[in-house]
Amino acid sequence: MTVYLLEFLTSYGLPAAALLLAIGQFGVPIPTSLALLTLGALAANGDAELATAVLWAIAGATLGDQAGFLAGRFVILSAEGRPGFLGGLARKARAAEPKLQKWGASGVFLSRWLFTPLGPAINIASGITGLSWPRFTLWGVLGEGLWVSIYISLGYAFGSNIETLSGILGNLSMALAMLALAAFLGWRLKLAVQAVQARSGRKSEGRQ
Amino acid sequence: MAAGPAVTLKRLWRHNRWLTIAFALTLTLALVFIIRAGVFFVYWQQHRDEPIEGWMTVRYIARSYRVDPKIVHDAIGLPETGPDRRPLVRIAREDGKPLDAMTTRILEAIRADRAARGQPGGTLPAPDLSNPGTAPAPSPQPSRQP
Repeated sequence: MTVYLLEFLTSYGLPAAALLLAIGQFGVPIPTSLALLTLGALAANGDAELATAVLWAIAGATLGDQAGFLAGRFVILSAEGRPGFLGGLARKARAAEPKLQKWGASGVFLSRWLFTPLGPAINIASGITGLSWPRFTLWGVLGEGLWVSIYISLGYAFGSNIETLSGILGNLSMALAMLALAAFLGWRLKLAVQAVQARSGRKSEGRQ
Repeated sequence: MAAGPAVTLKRLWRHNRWLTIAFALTLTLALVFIIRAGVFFVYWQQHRDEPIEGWMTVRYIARSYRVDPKIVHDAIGLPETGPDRRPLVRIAREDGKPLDAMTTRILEAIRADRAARGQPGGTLPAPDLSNPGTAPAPSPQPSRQP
């Protein structure tokens, strides 16, 4: 599939790249990082304009983000006040809103370029929990700008055998995403351990 | 706590089984991905000549094999009208040149160039073509031109 993706990209140029990035950021698992590396390599060899490539890429990625955000918001707004799974999700989302207004922006920003595998899920979650649209868009565009710049620069700098380079980076970003998840779970575990210890501490005091 | 970590672990297992499993699993996966990245990195350093594929442009191939783009350009008989930005699949489709014949000529030209410069030609990687005979198709093919 990678081969067809690259042929599509190089045959139809920057609009094709933007389309692929939009689809990928919406959550369809296609190798978007490889597409960006390819753009960088093409630019390095003079087969594409660097600045134009960056702009098209940011536009495409942002389109995908917005689609995910709107999908989340649309689904929940239509389900609020109704029973069942979606209604429950909507109530939970309402409850999570204060926390999200505080942390949502950094989650959006970091998942654009550092923990990229989490990006599509965070788009939809941001829409569901009602993160304000200007904040989502601002941090989204900034994060995508950083992501696009990093990967296009890497493609530009190395310029050859980008498929293997993409393998390295893909595995690294999955590892980072897993470490982030592990940190979150570890924090929850620590809280749980403290709760258990406090309980058993009270118990043993009671026995004495 | 005198009982130490063993008791803590036992308690965790009893009270937070799924959280513990999820934590161990994500840590293990992170380790697996880090190792995979390392393997790819070693491979990447040892394989600089990238197998030719249809999406590559003339100058991309030249860069990967570290030859003058003109050598690749001339090997597939492109006209002298400046650099060509098209990928091989488009050259094949638009100029009616079979992809496998083009890659064979490119590899021959690279080999000849390396021999002329006294570099070890070595074994060049075989091209990796999804559809080697992309000539002007005799069967009516839907055109994907925008």
